[in-house]
Amino acid sequence: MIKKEMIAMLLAGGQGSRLGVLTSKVAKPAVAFGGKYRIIDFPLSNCINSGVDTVGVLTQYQPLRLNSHIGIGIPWDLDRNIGGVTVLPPYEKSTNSEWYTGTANAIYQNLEYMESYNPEYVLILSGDHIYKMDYEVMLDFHKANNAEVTIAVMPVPMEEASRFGIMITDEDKKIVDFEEKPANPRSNLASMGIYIFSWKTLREALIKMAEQPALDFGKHVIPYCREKGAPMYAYEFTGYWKDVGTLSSYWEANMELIDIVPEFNLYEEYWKIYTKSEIQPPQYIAADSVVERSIIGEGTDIYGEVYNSVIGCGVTIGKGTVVRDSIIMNQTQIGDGCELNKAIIAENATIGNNVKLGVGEEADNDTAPHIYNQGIVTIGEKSVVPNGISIGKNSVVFGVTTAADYEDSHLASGKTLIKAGEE
Amino acid sequence: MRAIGIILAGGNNHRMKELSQKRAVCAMPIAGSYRSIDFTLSNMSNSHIQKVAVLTQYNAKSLNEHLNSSKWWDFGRKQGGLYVFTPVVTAENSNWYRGTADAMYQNLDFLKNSHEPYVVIASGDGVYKIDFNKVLEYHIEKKADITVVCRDMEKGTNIERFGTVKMNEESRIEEFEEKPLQAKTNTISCGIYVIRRRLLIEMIEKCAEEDRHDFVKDILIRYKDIKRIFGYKMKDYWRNIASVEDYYNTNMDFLKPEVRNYFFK
Repeated sequence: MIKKEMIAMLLAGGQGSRLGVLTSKVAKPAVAFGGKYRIIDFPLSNCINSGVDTVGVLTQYQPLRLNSHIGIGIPWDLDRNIGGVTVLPPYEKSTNSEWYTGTANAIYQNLEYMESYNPEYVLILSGDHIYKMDYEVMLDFHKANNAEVTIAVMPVPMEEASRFGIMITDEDKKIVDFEEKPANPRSNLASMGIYIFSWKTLREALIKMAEQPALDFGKHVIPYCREKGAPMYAYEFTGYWKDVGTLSSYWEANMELIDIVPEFNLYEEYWKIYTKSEIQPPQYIAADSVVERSIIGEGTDIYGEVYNSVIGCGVTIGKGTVVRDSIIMNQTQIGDGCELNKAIIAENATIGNNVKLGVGEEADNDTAPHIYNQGIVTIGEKSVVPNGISIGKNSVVFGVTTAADYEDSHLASGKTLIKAGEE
Repeated sequence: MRAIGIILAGGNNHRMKELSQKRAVCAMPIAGSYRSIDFTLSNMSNSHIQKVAVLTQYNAKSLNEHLNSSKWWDFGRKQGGLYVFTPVVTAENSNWYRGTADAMYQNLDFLKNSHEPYVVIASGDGVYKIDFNKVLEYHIEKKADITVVCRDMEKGTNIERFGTVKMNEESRIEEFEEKPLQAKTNTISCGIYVIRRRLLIEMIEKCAEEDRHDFVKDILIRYKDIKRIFGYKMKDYWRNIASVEDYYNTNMDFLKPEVRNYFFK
């Protein structure tokens, strides 16, 4: 009989709409990060580094890039005869076919997958956090406390606690109560969305709660377990952890990587982060170019100047172009004589010559100010910006644009230019 | 492709001085990202050769580490693979590879157990791009016994450290000299050969019977009047890193946009 002590279920089906146009063509876990990675590399690498070699990845929204990135799991050593990585999309059943309607519903629909490994414990992860964590230590904590549910938490500043799901614990870290986004938080331990369940407990809860619409861990399964009196503990994590769910947190997390010894260190030998790399030629830094305090991906050619930026693989930065405080993703081509300030440019975009991004006075975005803010200019993937255009702050461009789409070759701060359906 | 590949990665090269004291020449870094053997391996992979043997003996560890999996070059599916053969002690034999022909003789089983009709033999220290299918087409069209990839070297090249060839108007090789004191031509052999597998086995066995060990001296030069040996001229970029100077210049070449574009775009 096949038996695995602990298997992981990685929730990677969400759209991540707060990342705006960055996720209009890809699921959030597949968004590029840190020059060569994709967000899902972090939980996947954590799994293999923690000795968890069986991972089900639940996909739903725009899974193509995620599927081709994961493949059979070779980069993470998850190509296994028994176990390894399995992509689990929603599937048609003889009765009651449905999409994944909630986090726990997605897990419920894959009971059979989990049962086939006869696990003692199931680790629930989400695919949108940047962190390094040894899940085995968390499992030891779970076992030592005879817990049935362990929730990873991290201390957050009290004034921010009302944005999170907050766990209230006793001195033994046993969870006595919890509150979702409380107005007056009684504790500062925020749930990280990482759970270890004893298999029997999880299985029973999922089956009992199966009829609940949009079955969700935080809203339904955890409260159910508490009602039932299952011992629940909070595992405190104090390392680097970043939810890159919003454009500004995504931008910040990238920028934090360019410190000499970043708080989140990708350079250490211990606990490597693995990713699928394209075969790329070496990078090329031309004469007269300047690169300062930046990450530059493989196969990137730099003819201009780059400061405080994260540049992906296979990018070209043209002659006379100056890039500052920006994130440029794989295969994007930037022409000559451009000026980029605090821009996020997604994959395979083409920026013409003498284009200026992030210029002028700041103004609130006209369509989605909760997404596009902090002065960041966002250009979606495969977008084209023609020669000589200038674009203001908090603005967004997506699609193949031509000079006719701009008034006087200019897009003012806070404006949204989306030519949907075209590539 | 209907050929298997053999990469001669054997030697140390005293002209590489300290650089290759601890590693095989074929494991020398090129252009920041690569090792020199990557070029020949990639050429074979891109030409759809599926089964490749690397014959090596000097400081093979550096090469072994680099060739730790066939998957990096996409060799080695259910059929085919990437093999690294170092000399082994058997009941009959306890010699090192005494030459390139001897290295193949000691691994004759590899040749005998294959079924592909042709063999592409190449040295592991060349930096170049070539489609071996084109060479094989040429080989068949010329009804050649052996095809040698040749190249006219630029003026000022130190021809004397290569093997030089002289071809007639049909491209048949009439003269072949190994490291001539005074070169009569500027056409050199790139150390890349195409030959029918059965013929190779036959010639290697004959060679071994006569206690001869070198592919160039004891096969190409010795048989040049009896066998139909043809030259296939390649015109594009080709360097081999046989000396410190070549090694330096080859790396520096990758700073030129035309060389980078030729290899990478």
